[in-house]
Amino acid sequence: MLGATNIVHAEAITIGIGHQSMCTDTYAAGIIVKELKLLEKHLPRSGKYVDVTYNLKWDDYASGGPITNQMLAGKLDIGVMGDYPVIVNGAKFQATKSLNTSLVSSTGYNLRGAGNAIVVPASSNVYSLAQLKGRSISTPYGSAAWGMLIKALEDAHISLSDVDLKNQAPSVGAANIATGKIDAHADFCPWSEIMEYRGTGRKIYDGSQTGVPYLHGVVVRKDFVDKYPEIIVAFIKAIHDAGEWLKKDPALAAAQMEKWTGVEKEVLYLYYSRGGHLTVDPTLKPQWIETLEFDHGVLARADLSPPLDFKEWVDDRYVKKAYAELGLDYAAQSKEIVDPLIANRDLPNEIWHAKDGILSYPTTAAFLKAAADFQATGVKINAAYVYDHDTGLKLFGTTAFYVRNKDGSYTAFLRKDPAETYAAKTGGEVSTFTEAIARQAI
Amino acid sequence: MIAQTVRAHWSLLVLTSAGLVVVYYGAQIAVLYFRLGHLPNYITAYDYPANVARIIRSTPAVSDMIPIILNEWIFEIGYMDYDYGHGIAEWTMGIPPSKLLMIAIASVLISVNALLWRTARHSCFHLERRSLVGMTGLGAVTVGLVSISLSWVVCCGTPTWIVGLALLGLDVGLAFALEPFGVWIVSVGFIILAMSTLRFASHNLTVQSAVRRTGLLPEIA
Repeated sequence: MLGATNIVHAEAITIGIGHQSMCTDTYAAGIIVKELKLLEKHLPRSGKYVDVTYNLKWDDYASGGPITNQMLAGKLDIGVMGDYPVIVNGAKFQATKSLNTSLVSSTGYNLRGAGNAIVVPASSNVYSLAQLKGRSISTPYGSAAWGMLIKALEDAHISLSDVDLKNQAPSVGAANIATGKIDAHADFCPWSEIMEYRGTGRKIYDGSQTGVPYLHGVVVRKDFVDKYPEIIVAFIKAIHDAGEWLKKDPALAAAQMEKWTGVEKEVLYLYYSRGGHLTVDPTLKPQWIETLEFDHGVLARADLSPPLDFKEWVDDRYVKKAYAELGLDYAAQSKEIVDPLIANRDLPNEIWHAKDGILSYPTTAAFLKAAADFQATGVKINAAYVYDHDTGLKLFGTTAFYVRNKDGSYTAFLRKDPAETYAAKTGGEVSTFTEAIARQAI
Repeated sequence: MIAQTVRAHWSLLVLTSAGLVVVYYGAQIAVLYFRLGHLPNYITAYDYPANVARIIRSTPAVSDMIPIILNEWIFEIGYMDYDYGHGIAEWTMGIPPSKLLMIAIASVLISVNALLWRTARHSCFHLERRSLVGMTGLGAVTVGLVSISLSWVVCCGTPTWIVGLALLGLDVGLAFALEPFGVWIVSVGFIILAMSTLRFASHNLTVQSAVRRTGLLPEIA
């Protein structure tokens, strides 16, 4: 496979890469690789690539659909996108007579499907999916968030005719949530968290409740990868390096990415910190292929995707080659799956202090006490993070619900209903963040 | 009759056709303004010939090449929302020459019909003239709807006329159900427009020969 013998001496190779600076989960193969020039570091410069001049063309898009269109038009060779658009990419190319793409790498995942969510206006009295019956919900039609919404409604035995489903772009949905013009909006990362961070929205449903993993991937035009396989291997090595950079200092990485993307660092930290929503991992795990097959079924049922031959489309040879050249164990890595419920069990809660940076607290009670103290003294905190008891997901402390247990300890929850169920079981008391820190101040 | 009308009023025809094209795209922006509350704040021109040349070079099969070329834009007008990130395109109106051509042809047919209607307005066939005006309107609306070229952030490369219908307030499910019939709908639109043009022309011929025969307008004859 990698033995192509094209003579490319003295050639100028243009590499068109489509990425999304407003879709967090793509950063490890997009904005980070671009800004840190990680691809340049790994591009082949020996053998048949001696004297080659590389011309890297990075194009930023708001979603995956246009990236696919630009790949079809030959303007882009590589595309980075979420699970649903990536499927449509493969299917659209396979529907042609002469063109094809290959899924060559993942960028990252959340095993439980966090990243997509349904948000209501912060002041809404809606706390559960069941309460959305007869109300209006908007979503970018055909996106991963739309797929999650369809599955969530199905699971809750709510028919599509029971809700007023509207097709809305993320920025329109977010603006409508802020002004209360829509009852709920389902969106992909990082829109729900942006709304929560800005205090305009509150999650009532997280993608993790569907139990379907949420992942992003890298697709490459087949003619490009056949001609320059070494470049794709270099690209995957760059994704790996991006992951290492993120792990090294997540707070610094978040601040840096804020400059590049304009997305608030506190939102990005929720994704990329230890215990965050996203596990950066380029390996193409068998479970991910099963997930993509499931997602394709959802799209096909809605007539939103042509058939897709996964065996022909998924090609893990390049990611394996990249791992081998980096001296890493692909087999071991591809077996490793991070489950937030287990991995985040003992992680400390955090407060992002405006001056002192990230501060850790071993218990939720200590975290709330510190938050109360900061509030009392007027100290500015950028954000606060706790973990959902049921899923292990990292949450903004300000939007979580807290159960004060009989022994004085606290348990954090993403949603009100499970908090109430837990409180009823344990004899605890449910409170919001404001109520909980008020109690600490007494 | 059609050639005669075109020859007699070619400058008016060009002017009204061009005006209709401008009105058509202006109407799309107006719809977006009333639905979403923003006027466009950016415009991008594309190197269409270079892009088409690239598509031809990079697409081996001609049958694949054609639909990709038909989707290629020459202009993009849109609204960029700077409240999020470094800005995100909230909506865009892409203008592919293929759709521009369709709208231009439809506009010419509508203009020809208007000129023919003007010539026939003194005749007695009020009912027929009214139905022909109706046919022209129906054909124009049909072609116009399928030629809408709006898009916004959706992840599956939704055909732009479907997005347009959804923006106009059509139920999302219904809009998607209509998608496979796009080619048929636009074809029917053009057939209706062309038929109304031919019918107007034959009607005017009848009027003309009656005038020639009797020296009077038909209602008097």
